[in-house]
Parts: sequence; structure tokens; C-alpha cells
Amino acid sequence: MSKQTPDNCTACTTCTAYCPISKATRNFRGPKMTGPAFERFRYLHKGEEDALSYCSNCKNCDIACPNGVPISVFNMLAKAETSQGLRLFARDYIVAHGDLFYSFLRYFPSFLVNFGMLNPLTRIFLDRIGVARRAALPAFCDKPFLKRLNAVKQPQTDEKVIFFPGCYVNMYDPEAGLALVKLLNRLNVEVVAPEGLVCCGVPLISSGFYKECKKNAEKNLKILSKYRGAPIITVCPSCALMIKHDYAELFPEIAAKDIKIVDPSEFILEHQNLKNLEFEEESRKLSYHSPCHQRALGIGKPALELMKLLPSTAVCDLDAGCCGISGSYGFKKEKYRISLSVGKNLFDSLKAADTELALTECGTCKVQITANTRIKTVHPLSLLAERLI
Amino acid sequence: MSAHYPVIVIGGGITGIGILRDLSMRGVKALLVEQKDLCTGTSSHFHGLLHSGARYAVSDIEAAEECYKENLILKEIAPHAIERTEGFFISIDEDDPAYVDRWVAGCSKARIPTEQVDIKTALTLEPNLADSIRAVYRVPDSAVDGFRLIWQNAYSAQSYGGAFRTYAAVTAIHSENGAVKGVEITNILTGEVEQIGCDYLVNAAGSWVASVARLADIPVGVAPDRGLLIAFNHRFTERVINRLHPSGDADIFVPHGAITILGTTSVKVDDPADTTVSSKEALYMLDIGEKLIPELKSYRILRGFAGTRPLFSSGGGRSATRNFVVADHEKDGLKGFISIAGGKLTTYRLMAEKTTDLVCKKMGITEKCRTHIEPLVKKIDKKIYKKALAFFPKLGVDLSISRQGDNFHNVLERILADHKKCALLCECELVTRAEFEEVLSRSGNYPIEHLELTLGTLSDVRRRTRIGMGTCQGNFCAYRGVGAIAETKGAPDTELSAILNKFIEERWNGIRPVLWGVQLKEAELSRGIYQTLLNSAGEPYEERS
Repeated sequence: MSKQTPDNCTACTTCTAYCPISKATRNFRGPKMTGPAFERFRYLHKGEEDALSYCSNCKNCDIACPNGVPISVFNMLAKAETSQGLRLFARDYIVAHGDLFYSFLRYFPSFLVNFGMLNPLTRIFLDRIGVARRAALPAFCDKPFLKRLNAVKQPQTDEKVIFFPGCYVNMYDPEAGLALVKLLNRLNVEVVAPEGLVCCGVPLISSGFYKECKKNAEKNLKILSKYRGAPIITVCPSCALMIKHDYAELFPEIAAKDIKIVDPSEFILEHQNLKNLEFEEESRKLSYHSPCHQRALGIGKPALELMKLLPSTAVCDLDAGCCGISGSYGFKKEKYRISLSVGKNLFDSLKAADTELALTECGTCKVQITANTRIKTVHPLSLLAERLI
Repeated sequence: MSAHYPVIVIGGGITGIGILRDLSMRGVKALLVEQKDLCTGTSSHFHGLLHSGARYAVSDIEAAEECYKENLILKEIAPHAIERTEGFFISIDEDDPAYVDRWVAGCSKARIPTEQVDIKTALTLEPNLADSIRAVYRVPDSAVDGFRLIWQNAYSAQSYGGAFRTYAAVTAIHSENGAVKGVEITNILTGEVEQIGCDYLVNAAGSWVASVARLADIPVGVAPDRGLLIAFNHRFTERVINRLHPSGDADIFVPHGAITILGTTSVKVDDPADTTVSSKEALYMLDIGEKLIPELKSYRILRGFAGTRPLFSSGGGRSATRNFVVADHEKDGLKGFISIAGGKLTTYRLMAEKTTDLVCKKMGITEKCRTHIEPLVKKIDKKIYKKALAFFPKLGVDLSISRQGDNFHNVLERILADHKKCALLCECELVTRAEFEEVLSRSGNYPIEHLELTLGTLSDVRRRTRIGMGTCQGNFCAYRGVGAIAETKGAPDTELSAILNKFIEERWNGIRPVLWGVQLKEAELSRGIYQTLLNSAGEPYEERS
């Protein structure tokens, strides 16, 4: 696969009409301009414009494009060429390298780390370097997913899936990963989590760390391609999208074939032992938010189908657009307000639906929704595992 | 005679405008007349290559030397119209290897610097080239934009007192006692006829030189020779790419702003205005071009267009000399009439210098030529540049300055007066509403009341800004453009429809011969917007009560 050209863009501007950031701020010129339109001029090497940093990589442009132009990929590749100065570099480095910080913070008890990270003094300091003081940051978990997986006694079977935990599950929300393990084990499937997998790279590329992102891609693809043929499952839609689509578009030179990323909901729904799964009723009022990167996968909303396994339980599909957080975008001080304005429609819809429990696959969507609606939000698999009889 | 000028120059191409500027800089009052708009002939219908001379190193050493000298001068005086891209000459398997040595020898004889580049390096620098290339040489070719070059010359000439009139065709040449007395000018939009007196008449009509001279019954041997060009939507080479072989069809790629132009062919035509483009010829060019750029056919074509070379020769075609001749028609029996024939855009300045030298000599003016040292555009004030950065992306500022030159500060002032004017009217070529309005205020010296006078308006702006010349080929800027015209000039609806249709039709002319691939999708979008949504074809409709 050779470098993508902007040739498929017909300048129809559908992407800009669907871009949540363009609606929220005039500072962003819209995906058509920063993507394919500027791409034509990038060959002139005249430098990049600052407005590019407003792209949140939510990929609604890619979803909307009728011609299959990889708009967000143009933006991400161009971001790698920009520089926002030292102060914002430090900030971007911090928000893009959660995994790195966790790798040494994990030796401390999580309550201490979280106190250290989330107390008002730290927040004032973080605010000074550009992390919005009011933005809700996720809290580290007590024990990372991988450690907890080792403690799970799994059935020894021939059917194995490869699990890609991703940073969010490993550092903040091991429950979602363990929920998948519980469900798959009941289907008589063993979950294997290979050693050495690193961050998929979404936060890196979104903040312009192209080289590091590529290194991570290389490491992950090297490990994953060892398990050729076996389905690879992740419960994070952003990790899935990155491995399934973006690696090949961002780094065509290292693209690996034969890597089979399967959506967990689809995997469960299509499994021959599906009848093994029995659930009890859920009485709370449920609403489902489909994360942008889940929609960008182009496989519909399999989680909604999966929730139908809960007996006599209705789930409201919000269909209210982007939550605004886009990974680490909403943590950034100059983007914080934009992020809230983008998510407003979703927050209002959730409240209007009288929701008691919100469901969504994406980790940072969860943080954003809970922080702005006070409604508890979990991964759909977490709820299913909880209701498993 | 309604007016009198010491010198009248015929032809608003680069040669004529170059002469107007040179004359004006030497203090000679001159008027330039052009039958259409400036830059509507060959000066905008070529590949945009600023020759290093290497292309003529074997066939025409004199032209090669001239090109190289002028190449160096133009890079200094016209930095805003030129991209210093450098160029590659590339030999492939089917090319005669013996020709390479002759070419290298020719270049060194013409003192054109060449440097062999190893294949691996060349492929790293230009990854879209075919792996099978056999030899690569680096030459000081560059890309030049005919539009910018002409407008910068024209504005500079104006600042020295030079005047030009567009849509003014010369329909008769008056003489008395064997000397030029003046010309008859017909406004091709209104049909108005006017007599203007002059002492000297310079015929710089390019491919039309012979037809102008015919008005005075003087034969000039200029044979128009048509060449087809194909414009691609993006830039797939960083440098000018030439085939290293005796000049042939479709063997030059010139990267140009956001696009790439592939040229060209050579067909002898009778009418200098014959710029027919056929799909067959376009496909033939792609077949050849593909040998250097294997993925060529997968790239999107924006349009095909053709121009006619003003070849000075009895034979014509590519064997003709690319040199120019300044002909003093005193020897043909008409004093004060001078024709400049042949040549090419790269040597326009020299052609203008030689012609102006002759005119000045006849007029007894001793002022020396300064066009080789004085830049076309004055240095843009750093403060203005900095102020502009608050409103445009850096790239947009650079592009706007390169298009508007010394008038850029007017664009900025319009934005400072009303910040909304920094909105992009043309998103493909990054043209702001302010730039559009600035140009609109300078183009078309005609009142809007006459329908027929306004038809050219949008295209006139296009030639000064590049609106409608990018990816969407006018789909979005055309209706925004007429909107801006309506707001600033207050034209009635019927006229606006006519302006819109004329512009869209012109854009379609270049698209029809290459209507396939993504461009076909674009055309469907255009049809949807203009024919369906805006009913540009004027389908009658019944009003319902």
C-alpha cells in the first residue's frame, strides 16, 4: 500500500458538516480543509497551521466521507510535523504517555498515587502546564488487569482468543477486561494475554508523537502476528480501530496481514456455545452511547444486540453523537470547553432519557459522561458479567 | 483619434506585458491592448516550466544558453512567481544511451550545471518514479506560474505609468506615408470602436503575431503549434521531471503549487486560437507519462487544456528554433511597426529588453534596461506579514502575497476593516473573500449595467487568484463568487446567472475531455449543485399559488 493521496476528495464538505469540533469552535477550519485540502499544499513544505491541533481524531469525518478519504489520517500525519512549543509539548507528553507514568507509579499503592495525581495542588500545577483543572481525569486501579488475569482460573481448552488489554483496561478499568474473561470462559473459550503488548498508540498519534506511535505499532504487530489466525479481541474500540485500520494507513510500510481483530460483542453473539450464557433481569433504566471509534469500525452497534440477551430489559440507544473527550483531547486546557460543548447533546439526551446506568465501550467516554451527568457509566460487558447467572 | 500614445503594444501575454514594463521603466509612455483578458493565450496555457535550457542542450545550443541566463535572472527578480524546484532529466530503458553523452556535452557547452544523481538517491527524493529508470541528472529547472508572472509585471508596469486595456482587439492598423499612425480598437464585449494614435506599434501578440501583421499586409512567419497539457489534482513529484531524450510528447512533469502539469504534444494548427483538447490525445499522453510515473493513471486529473506555441519558422514543430526574432518592419515598408516573434516564456524578459532597446533607439531614448535587476514585487513589510498571520494560515499568507504582490496590503486592510472577510471563498486554492474583492475592484473596468460586459468577470478574477482552479473546479467558489459580486457590485439576478453559467461552462470545457475516475464524481457533484439545485440550465417552472 502506497502513501494516500488526497485525490478521492471531491471537496463536498460532508465531513465538515459532520465534524463535532467544527460545530463547537471557529478555531478549527474543519476536516476538509486541514485534511485533503491542505494535504495538496503539504508537498510544498511551507509549514503547518496551528488550527490542526484542534482535530480531536474522533473520526466522524472518516465515517461521513462518501468517498473513503482517510481524512483523520492526513490530520494525524500532519500533526506529527507541527510543534506547539515547549510548554504544550510537556503537557501533551504527559497526556499521551499514561502508560509510561503508570509503569513506575504502579509500585505505589493506588490510593496514594491517585491522591498525588488528583489532589487540588497537583491539579493547579497540571493546569499551569495545560491540563484543564476542571477536567475529570480517570483514577488508577489497585491492581492492573494483567496481574488480576493471572489469578483467574480459566478452562483449559483448544479454543483460545488473544486479548489486547490496552492502557485503559490495564490501568484504570480491569473490570471490563475481567468481564470479558468471565463471559468467554463460560463459552468455554480461554483468554490469552500475551506478554509485551504496549499502548496501541492512539493517544500518541493524537498528540503528534508519530515516531513513538510507530514503535508501539511495530512492537504490537510483531507479537500479534505470532498468533496468526486466532481472533484478537479488545474491549476498547479505539485500540480495535487502531490495530484494524489505522496501523495500515499511518504506517503502510509495516502493515501486517492476517491479523484478525474481532469485536467482543460480535464474537459472543456468533459463538456456538451462546446458550451457555444465561442472565438475570436488570431493573435499572439503561442507555447506550456508541463511541465514535466504535462507529468508525463500520460494524454497527453489536453491543446493543448483545444487551438483548438480558431478559426483559430495554436499552435506549442514545444516538447523540460524540461525547467530546476524544481520548485525551478534553483534558487539554484550551480544548476543555470545546469538549464540553461537543458533548452537550449527549449529556442532555442521557438526562432526558432518565438514565440510571449508562453503557459505553470506550473508557474515556465513561469518564466524560459520568463527570458531566453524574450518571454511573460502565462497559456493556461489565454489566453482562454482573448479571450472569 | 481619441487618444495618442508614443507606443502601443499589442498582446497581453507575457511578452507584451514584459515590453510594457520595460518601456514604462525607461520612462516611455505606452498603452498595451489585449483582445481578451491578460494571460488568456499561451502564457497561461503551457506547462509552467522555467527552463534551465537543458532541454535544448542538444538541438539548439543558443536557445539553451539564453534560457539558462534568463532562468538565473528570473529567479532573482520574480521569486513570488517561481518555485525553485530544480529538475531531473531521466533516461529510461527505451531511450538511446548515446544521447545521454551528447546531452551532457551540450549542457556543459551551454554552461548549464548538471550533476549525475545515483538511482537510489533519486528514488528516495522522488519515490513515485519508476524503479526501472537508468540514469538521472540534476538541472536548475524551476516551476513558474504564468498568471502570477504576468500580473506582477502588469502591476509593476502600472506603477511606472504603463497602461493596459483588456477586451480591446486591434481591428485595423492606420498608416500615413509609410509610417504607423495608430490603431483601431474594437471592444469585443460592446462592439464599440475607437481610434488611438501612436508613433510606434509593437506587435507582441505571440501566436497571433502573423494575424496582427496581416492587418498591415506584412507577412510574418509565425506558425502556431498546439500542445496539450494535463493538470493533476496533487503534486506527485517535488521536482520538474524531464525525459532525457530528444524532445518528444508527454515528457515533462512540472509540480506547480498544489498541482502537477504534464506536457505536452505538438500539432501544427492554422488558427492560433485552436486549443481543442481530445480524450484520445490525453490518453496517448498518459501512456507515455506512465513510463516515468507508473501510478500516473491512478492519479486524478483536474482538466486538460491546450495552448499554441508561437513558433518562428517556415518548418514549424519541435525542430523549429526556440529563438526569437525582433523584426523591424521599416524594411517591409512600414515605419514604426515592430514585431517580436518566436521565443518562449523563459526568455520573455530578454525578448522584451531587445524589443524595447529597438523602440528606444528609434525614439532616441538612452535610458538603459533595468528589468534584469529590479524585482517585480517590492519586499513585503515584515509588519504586514506578521499582522496577516493572525488571519490566515502561514501558507495562505504566502500564497496570497505571491498572487497579489504589492497589492497584498490592500487585501489585509480589507480584512482589518471587516474580519469576516478572511473567510475562504475558495477553499481549494485558499483565496479569502478579501482577496476576491480586492481583485474584483481592479478587474473589469466596465460598468456592470451591460450584461455582456460582465460575462468575463469571474474568470477575470480566476486568472488573478486561481479560484476555480483547484480540486472542486469551481463547484463551491463559483456561487460564492457571484454572491460576492452581487454584494459588492449590486448586479441584478439575470446578470449573475449569466456570469455563473459562463464560468461553470468554462470550467466544464477543460473537464469534458478527461471525464473519468474521481473527476467524474466531481462533475456529478457539480451537476447536482448547478443544474439540479440552482437550476442553472433554466428549466422553466410553474409557480403554484
